[in-house]
Amino acid sequence: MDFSTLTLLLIALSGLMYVLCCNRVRRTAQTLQQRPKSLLRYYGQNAVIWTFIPAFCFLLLFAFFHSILLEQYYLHIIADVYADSPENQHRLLLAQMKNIAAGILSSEDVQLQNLAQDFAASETLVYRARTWLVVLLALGLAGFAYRKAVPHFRVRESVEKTLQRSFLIAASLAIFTTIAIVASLLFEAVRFFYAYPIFDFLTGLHWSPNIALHADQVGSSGAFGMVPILAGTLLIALIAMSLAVPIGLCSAIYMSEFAHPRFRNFCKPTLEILAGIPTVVYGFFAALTAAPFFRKIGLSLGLEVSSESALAAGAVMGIMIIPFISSLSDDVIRAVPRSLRDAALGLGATRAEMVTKVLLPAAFPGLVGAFLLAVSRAIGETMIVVMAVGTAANLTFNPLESVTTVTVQIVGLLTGDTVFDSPKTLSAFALGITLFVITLGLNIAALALSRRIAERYE
Amino acid sequence: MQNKMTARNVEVHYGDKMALDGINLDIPQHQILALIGASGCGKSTFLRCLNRMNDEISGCRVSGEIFLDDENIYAPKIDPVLVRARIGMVFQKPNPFPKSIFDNIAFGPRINRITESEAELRDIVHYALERVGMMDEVKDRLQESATGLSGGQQQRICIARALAIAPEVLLMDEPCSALDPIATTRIEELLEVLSSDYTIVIVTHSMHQAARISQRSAFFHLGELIEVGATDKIFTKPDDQRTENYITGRFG
Ligand SMILES: Nc1ncnc2c1ncn2[C@@H]1O[C@H](COP(=O)(O)OP(=O)(O)O)[C@@H](O)[C@H]1O
Ligand SMILES: [Mg+2]
Repeated sequence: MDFSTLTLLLIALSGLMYVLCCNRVRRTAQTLQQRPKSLLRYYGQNAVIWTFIPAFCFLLLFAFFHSILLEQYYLHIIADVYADSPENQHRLLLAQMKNIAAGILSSEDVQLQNLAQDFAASETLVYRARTWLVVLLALGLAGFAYRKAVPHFRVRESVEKTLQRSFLIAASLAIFTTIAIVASLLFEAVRFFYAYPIFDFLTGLHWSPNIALHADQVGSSGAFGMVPILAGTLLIALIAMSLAVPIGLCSAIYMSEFAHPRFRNFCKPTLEILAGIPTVVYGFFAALTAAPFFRKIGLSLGLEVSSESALAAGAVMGIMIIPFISSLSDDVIRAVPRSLRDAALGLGATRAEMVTKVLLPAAFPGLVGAFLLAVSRAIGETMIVVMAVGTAANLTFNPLESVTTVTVQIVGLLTGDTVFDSPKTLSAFALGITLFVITLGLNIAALALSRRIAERYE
Repeated sequence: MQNKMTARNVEVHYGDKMALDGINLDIPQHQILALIGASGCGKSTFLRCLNRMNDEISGCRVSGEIFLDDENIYAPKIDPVLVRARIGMVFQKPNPFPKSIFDNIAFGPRINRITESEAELRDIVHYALERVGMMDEVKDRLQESATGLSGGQQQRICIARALAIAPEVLLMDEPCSALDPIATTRIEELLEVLSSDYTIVIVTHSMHQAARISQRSAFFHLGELIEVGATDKIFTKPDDQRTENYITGRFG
């Protein structure tokens, strides 16, 4: 029986057990003249939990792991049988053997054919065993649940505990995934730092990973110094923020405090559309429209502007962040209670005085938090810079020149044909973990600040 | 007795909904007027008319005339901001700014440019604190945040903040409803003292409070002013059946 048939079988069995257990409780309750301790449907749910969940979990685990285990086992056998062939051949042989077993490939090698037969046989056996195990497990636990379906059993508590546990599992799954991602990043980054000292990576002023492909130049050239690309990232984020913060904040203030409701109802969705534009679109806007535009203006002023200037990418990124800032700031400003506005207005403050003297100071921590979130977005933003920014790592703070960013470098390092364990590729993970640490720090700070404002007005 | 404020044919609409219908009410100087009535009958709305706070609520329209001394505060040439600077307002929930005690009380004088000198500003703040009887309680922590005070202290800070703009009229919307009985008593005592210098209009849900502190009471019902008169009379032999029902707790 395959996976879906077994699943359907489990569902059918669970449905049956639901009805059976409900009926059993009702009948016994009648004969014993005893009220069930919980509502009838909880007895049914309990039966479903016992029948379905363990068996299904087993089924899932089996689906994930059986092929790995089986392959490991046969890899050992192959290693024994082909002891004289080199080790890296074994995996290839295993793949061939599997294909022969599946009937896709034929081979002259009798040894391998025999192995393939064995393999096919053990696969069938394992599958059959799985089917039996699942069915037996489901039936056994269903029987257990059925026996427990008696009126004096307080089943609701146990059902609710199961529910609680499954929420806990869902929550920890999300956390676990995050940890796993970080761990894999860290693992690869550490491999990089074996090849290249972490201190040089963090403080080096020179970044040219392509030269470093040749093993003899690694380490001596200092080609993995991340300072220029970090500086480029910060420069672009700074340009973006200095455009987005004033515009976003002012628009949020205008919307929440001054705008006529009808205007607000028109403007808020418009801003949200701006937030919904895919970043690739911003990317080619930056590369094809903004960059030439800034270049032309620069030329007419007698300035040398690179066609991949940090200014163009930063400005477009700023436009992208405006709705983000404006909507976050709007939330923060709205969180300042109406009563504070009334207090200021009641004392004879004008709207503008109320905004500058009461609203903004009261919202300040939250606003800073919002800006930090925006910075962390700007630093992690990839598509715009990939399209509009160069790859040459110039260490400069001149916005008219071309710089590069962490994300651009990561994309460059990992696309195309790469050897997976060269320092060049591994350096991408080191950059990735650096980016992660920076954004994590920013997000934690933002969270702490918005907590503070929430506490003040709860 | 001279009237400090006079309302003539005041009507208020929120959108299409009428909230107040033709209110005519005199507010005598240096007395406490209590506004009573069931929830939603328009007491707060009327109170907000008196200092044009309704201008800040979108969809709210006010018609009619309200005179402060002899000036119609709803005349076209009047700036509502200047009206509010002459009338203090205290709200239901204590709402100190998240600033220091000093800055809270100095807020009004600073905004209204009452004085340029720091020394005078300090005098104003000290005077306001004296008036609400809090000088001794807080004189060592004027620079601490006002939000750290107890609810009753916060509300008295709010009253001091209103007094610091030297208002002629003090409007209070259920100022004690968020306070415990002891804090309530302190505020009531304070109001009695203040009423010799200020004209006070107070919305209250507590019959006892109205009876204890006010000289006159006005009973509102479903957006109409049913009856206004000396508090003694309203509470002992009201003219209108609806007033009597409310006083004796038969509805609302
Ligand atoms: N901001 C507002 N928008 C719309 N309707 C309002 C608003 N404020 C009050 N109202 C309505 O006006 C009526 C009077 O309210 P209010 O003056 O707050 O009553 P009270 O203070 O006596 O309880 C109520 O029916 C209320 O629903
Ligand atoms: Mg009210």
